[in-house]
Amino acid sequence: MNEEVIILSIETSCDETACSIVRNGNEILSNVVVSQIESHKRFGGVVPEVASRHHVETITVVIEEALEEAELVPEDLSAVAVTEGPGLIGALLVGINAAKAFSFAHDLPLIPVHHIAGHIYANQLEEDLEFPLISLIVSGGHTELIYMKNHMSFEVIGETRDDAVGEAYDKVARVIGLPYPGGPHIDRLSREGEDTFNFPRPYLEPGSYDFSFSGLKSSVINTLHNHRQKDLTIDKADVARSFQESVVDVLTKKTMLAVENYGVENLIIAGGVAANSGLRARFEMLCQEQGIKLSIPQLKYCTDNAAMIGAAAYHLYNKNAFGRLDLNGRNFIDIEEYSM
Amino acid sequence: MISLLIDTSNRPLSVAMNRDGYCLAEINTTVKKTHSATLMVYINELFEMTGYKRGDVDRIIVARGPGSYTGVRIGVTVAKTLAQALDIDLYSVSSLAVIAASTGRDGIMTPMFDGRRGNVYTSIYRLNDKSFEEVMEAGYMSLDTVLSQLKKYDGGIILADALEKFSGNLGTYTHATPRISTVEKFESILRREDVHQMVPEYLKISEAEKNWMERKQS
Repeated sequence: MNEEVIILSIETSCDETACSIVRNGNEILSNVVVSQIESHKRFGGVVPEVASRHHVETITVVIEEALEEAELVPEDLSAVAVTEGPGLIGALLVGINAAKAFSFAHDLPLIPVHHIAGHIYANQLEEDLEFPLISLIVSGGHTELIYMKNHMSFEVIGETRDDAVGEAYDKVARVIGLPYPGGPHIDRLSREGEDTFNFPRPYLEPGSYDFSFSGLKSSVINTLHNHRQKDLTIDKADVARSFQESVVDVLTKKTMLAVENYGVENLIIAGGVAANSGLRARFEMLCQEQGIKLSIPQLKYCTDNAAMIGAAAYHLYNKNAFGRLDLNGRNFIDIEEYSM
Repeated sequence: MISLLIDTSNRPLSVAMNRDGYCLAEINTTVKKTHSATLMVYINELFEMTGYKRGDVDRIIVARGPGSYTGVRIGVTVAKTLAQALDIDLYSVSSLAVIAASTGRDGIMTPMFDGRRGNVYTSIYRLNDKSFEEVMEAGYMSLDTVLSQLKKYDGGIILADALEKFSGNLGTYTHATPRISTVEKFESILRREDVHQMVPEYLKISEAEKNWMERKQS
């Protein structure tokens, strides 16, 4: 196949308005991300209506910038890809309708992409995926373990039963008085502390690949509450370290168990929490010990971006998996539906 | 001049293709379906019905709100992106003005969209032949406020969608839904927009921002 596949992709599932142009699924020609985080900080979290409003303000700007940065005109494109879900529905609809209008105006095929597939394929921007693999997706909205036999084949083997791991980070950050988003702050602070609290490790029933972080979160909150009632001093760094140790223990143990039981040699970590230094360090150590090939994308491809959508869309393009003009956003889509 | 016109600001959807201000084709629905799934399908239909190509369109006119936040955003997003992609002019029109124009009648008109808890999005217009004057600025207000304003204009008509529930008692009103093709009769209600700058006219800040501002003040 000599044909060049150049895909313009749009991602608006949460609080980043993003547009990117990717050639052949791995060469980034442009990658524009406008983050709304400064606006949402005042609320201590992403407010869906506010996110949707910001997306409308910037959507045409990011499309234009992506084309200019890539020094391309729409006639050079092969297709338009967009995140169909999961995500905040009002936010998704802005990207989807922009993508549909753009594809209609330029007579380009439309490719709906699953957001999590995008996170996994962010790795392809750096090196080709090797199969079979296990992927751990950790972010503010997702905590999932996925087994992939081949391209675009997804089997969810574990997921969170309550809070996503990033969500737990944000909530714990709030109770120890750290700003939103909590992940990077706890990560930084944890380097100065010790695991003195020994919070519970929520492993659930033996052999389970599922996660649950709400109990851990409550345990942190209750412990702090008791300390405050007794006027005991609280070392925030120790709280941060103890919480992070519990999270890292659970995430790494379950993931490595899956790697072993599924007999894979490739592990991919993706999503915003993949930026966590404690989590990275532990996975690097374990994978080296066990001879597993570990891939974690650079930070800018861990957080939401459109290049990852373009990377996944490349495989859908080759399989003619196109969407129609009646494409609608979906706040929840089972990634297994996307398996081909 | 060929115009593509879009209104998805409330449950009704209205899209049209006009030539020199007159309707060539128009699709109007009031079914409860998500505009996100239908809008582009109907726009495609307009091109098929009229035989025009994408490049034949000279301008896009979109209802900018007020209305359902999500609904308005769908229309505005499509309008902005099409205007950008086709490199043509973008205009907006108040979704309330669309209702008044759609009646095809002269007189004092007060379109109303429900705004919950006894509030409405409304405006008062005076229509006379080709003139269209806004006598009370569009806003989000209590139903009582606008009804007392309307008393100044004996014979003013309230326009509302009979298929919608209102949280207050409108009294006597006339059923009206948008027919977006009618707005080009009144060039004065069309506002030229910059594609990147254009935002919906919500007429109300989000709940989260309102609460945040209240917290900041106290």
